[in-house]
Amino acid sequence: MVKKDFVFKIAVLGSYATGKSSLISQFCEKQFKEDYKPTLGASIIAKDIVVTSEEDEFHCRLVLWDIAGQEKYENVRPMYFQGCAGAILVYDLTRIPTIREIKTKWVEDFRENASPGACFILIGNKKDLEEIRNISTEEGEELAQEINAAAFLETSAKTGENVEDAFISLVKQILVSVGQTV
Amino acid sequence: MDDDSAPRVKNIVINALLESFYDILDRDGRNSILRAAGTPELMDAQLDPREYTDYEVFNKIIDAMNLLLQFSEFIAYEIGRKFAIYSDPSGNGIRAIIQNLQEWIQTGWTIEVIREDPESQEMVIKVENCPFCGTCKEAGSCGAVTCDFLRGIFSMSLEKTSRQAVACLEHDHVFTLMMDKGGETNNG
Repeated sequence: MVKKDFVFKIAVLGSYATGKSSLISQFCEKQFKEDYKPTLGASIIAKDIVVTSEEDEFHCRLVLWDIAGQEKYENVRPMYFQGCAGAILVYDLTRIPTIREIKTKWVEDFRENASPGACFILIGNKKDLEEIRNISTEEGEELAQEINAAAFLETSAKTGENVEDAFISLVKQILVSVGQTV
Repeated sequence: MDDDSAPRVKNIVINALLESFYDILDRDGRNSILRAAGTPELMDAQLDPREYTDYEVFNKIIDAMNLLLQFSEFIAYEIGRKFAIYSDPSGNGIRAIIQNLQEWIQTGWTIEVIREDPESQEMVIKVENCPFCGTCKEAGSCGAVTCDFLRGIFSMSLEKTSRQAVACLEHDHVFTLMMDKGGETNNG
């Protein structure tokens, strides 16, 4: 098995209170905090993971940028996207405007400002709130297809369901985009 | 570290770094760098600018910056430009900041203006044993985003006195500053 080292900058994007910080916290620390504190600016954390294929062992350092969703950061946000190899676009499956904004705002923002060829996946978060769900799985899948997302998953940052899979899925897509066989 | 020759950093540098992180990355960005550095006690700290901080603390902050700002050269550059303002609010110019940086960060590094051409309005600065490269330095190539941070410091310092836009290129710790004769700035 051949060991290969990579460093990727990854942005986590979406409207305010969609659970971006909670997804990162669940992925990096296996923690979920009930209280909501809006991100101010960008919260950045590095996480090392290993992805294996039949022939290779990919040691990936992920520099995760949790980018504030509030409007007051519109002007600085493009600067934060510089050098991103990939992104996770997050909507809250209990709030319809958050999926609309994926299409009208976040995809375009990311495409315009990230590295050429950067890939992204789409996530519908808050799967644990099934009883107040307002966006069906099919609607999420349709949007993912429409915006050419590399993958679509529904996650729960609270229970941890699909969270690791989402990040690993994106990293695999990025590895493929840089010419690796995963 | 009691003796005078031990590496140390004047708090004005730490304060200016914290202010600059805050301006560009806001509270959570600044705190991310301090958390990665293992210095969370500096969140919201305002240190006595006349006093000194252990060099190890400074080094940890620079390493965290190099870790978290990988691929974010433009952000590092903008942080440098803010740093030039906070560390020299009265705008004494690039020669003053070069002298001050060496006095404030006492590690045996040198910054030297090796060429200044008034006609072409170019200035070339060489940095040796750069403390901003932290521990990420590799043989033959640095690649630290803190070189972009230094580019920002130098360009803003020169802009403040020349009142002209300044471009700054870096190669192997040699910084070439070029004034844009047509472009005026409203800095300072």
